[in-house]
Amino acid sequence: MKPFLYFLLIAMYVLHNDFFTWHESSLIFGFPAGLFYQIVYCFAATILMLFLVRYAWPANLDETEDGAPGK
Amino acid sequence: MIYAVILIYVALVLLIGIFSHKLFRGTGEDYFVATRTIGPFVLFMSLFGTHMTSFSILGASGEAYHRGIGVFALMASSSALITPCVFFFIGTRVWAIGKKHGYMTQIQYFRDRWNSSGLGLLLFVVLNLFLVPYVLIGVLGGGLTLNQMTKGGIPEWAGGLGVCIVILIYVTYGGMRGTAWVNTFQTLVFMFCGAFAFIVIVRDMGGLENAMRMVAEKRPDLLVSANQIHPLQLLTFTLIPLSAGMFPHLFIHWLTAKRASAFRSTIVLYPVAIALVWVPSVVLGVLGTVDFPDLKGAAANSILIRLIELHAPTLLAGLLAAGVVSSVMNSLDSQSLAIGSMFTQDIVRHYGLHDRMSEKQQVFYGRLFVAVVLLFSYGLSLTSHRSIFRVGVWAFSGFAALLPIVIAALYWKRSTKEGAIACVLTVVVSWAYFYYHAGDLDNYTVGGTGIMPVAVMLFASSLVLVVVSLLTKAPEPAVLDKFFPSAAKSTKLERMAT
Repeated sequence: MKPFLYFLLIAMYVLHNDFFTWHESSLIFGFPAGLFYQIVYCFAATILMLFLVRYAWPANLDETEDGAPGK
Repeated sequence: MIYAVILIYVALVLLIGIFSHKLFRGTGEDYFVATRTIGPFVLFMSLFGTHMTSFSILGASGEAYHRGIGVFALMASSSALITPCVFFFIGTRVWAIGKKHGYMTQIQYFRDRWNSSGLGLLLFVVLNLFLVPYVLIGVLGGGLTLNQMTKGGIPEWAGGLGVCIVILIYVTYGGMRGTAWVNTFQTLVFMFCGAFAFIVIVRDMGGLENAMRMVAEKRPDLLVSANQIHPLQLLTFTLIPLSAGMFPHLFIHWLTAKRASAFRSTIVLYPVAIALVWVPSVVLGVLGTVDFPDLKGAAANSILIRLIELHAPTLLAGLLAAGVVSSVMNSLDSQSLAIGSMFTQDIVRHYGLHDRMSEKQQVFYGRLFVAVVLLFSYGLSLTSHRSIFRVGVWAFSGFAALLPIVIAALYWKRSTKEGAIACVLTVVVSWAYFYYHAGDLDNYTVGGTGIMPVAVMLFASSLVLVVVSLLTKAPEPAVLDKFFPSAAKSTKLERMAT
């Protein structure tokens, strides 16, 4: 699952470059098409983060739950 | 009425700061990192509020006024992906190491990781060099907002001074806990007010579609990304949010988390929260060209305030002004605390007192340096008139180019102190080179290619770190034992086997 999620991260990075809406001037729900795409992108990023913390959370981090004394 | 709303807001902020003092334990660790007791909700709100500065609210709307909707893709949606990744891959690991070894600043970690006081001192200078302009953005934004909202009743110098005094009171009194609590309140205020401003103004302009059609008639270029932004600029701008990995003020907030799982909700909610704050800023910046078509340069930083004045009734205007001031103070407080903490821990404690310092002394010096930082930044703000967006971009670029340091510290055992020092020096030299060449040029890119300077700086700093590390002596096993215990165990087992 982890490699697939990391692949999705890279895919998301590529998809940020929205050249397909680059010259688009139409409005979608009142938002210019380019802006609307980027807003949807933010929601997609949230879903990806949800999967990331659920399926790729490093197990060793939870071992540090109760920590050490201050320096 | 506006004065009354601002006064009530300030009173609430001070009350929260003062109330938090009831839980103060009188130790350095409590003053600087709230004894690492912050839960998921306050962690998310304080991290997000600290990250979103007047750069996001005033700077983004000012830049969108000039360059259109593409500003959202440049800074907001790129941050929506990159920043939570930084929290996931760096923030959580830094928290674990900070908790294990009791670190309160990032310099303490880097100094121990490579066993080098010189590196610590160099980083101290460089981090502050990049952070002070960022602090300046907050002071400038505070003065500008209060001046605009009171129609010049509060001069910019007095507004900036007022913001600094309020922050000084609750940061010195409440420390990190007070800052985190106030941040939470302020983040709620500015998120709510931003959405509210958006609804009120857009409705007054006849709805979003109608308002956008008015923009299309006057400035159609602002509604199409291709007209204002080079594709390579969009691609390389995505490197700027990497700066979150080296911001001292985010670093100290990471250290406040009670447990690693507190990061989960922050990571998941971050992209949506960014959209919630930046959509109103960018859209209102673009819509501002309808009512105020002739603003030049840095004057556009005030577009949001002008729109609020024009379209919102007095009481709402006061509330919305409080929202903008919230976003300004939210970062300024954490940045002052971070600098105060570095001065106390990395200079006075490390050099002056040879790592021996009583809890009382730590708190005293922490408070003293917060006051000095605010005073110094305020003094600088009186002579600075640059665009908030551009000051921010230059500060962010410096931090982003330093990212290889924290990645190498966490993930690359073979990295050396010489490599880290060379990396920092490369960032300083390349940053100074580009800053000098950019001058007052708007939208400077490398050789006019569309490539942001941060891309070259980051590439150069990464390359230098790798090459110099490989050419110098590998770190001592004792250091690796401390920071990579599992790796050290397997190396010992391999040695025993052979």
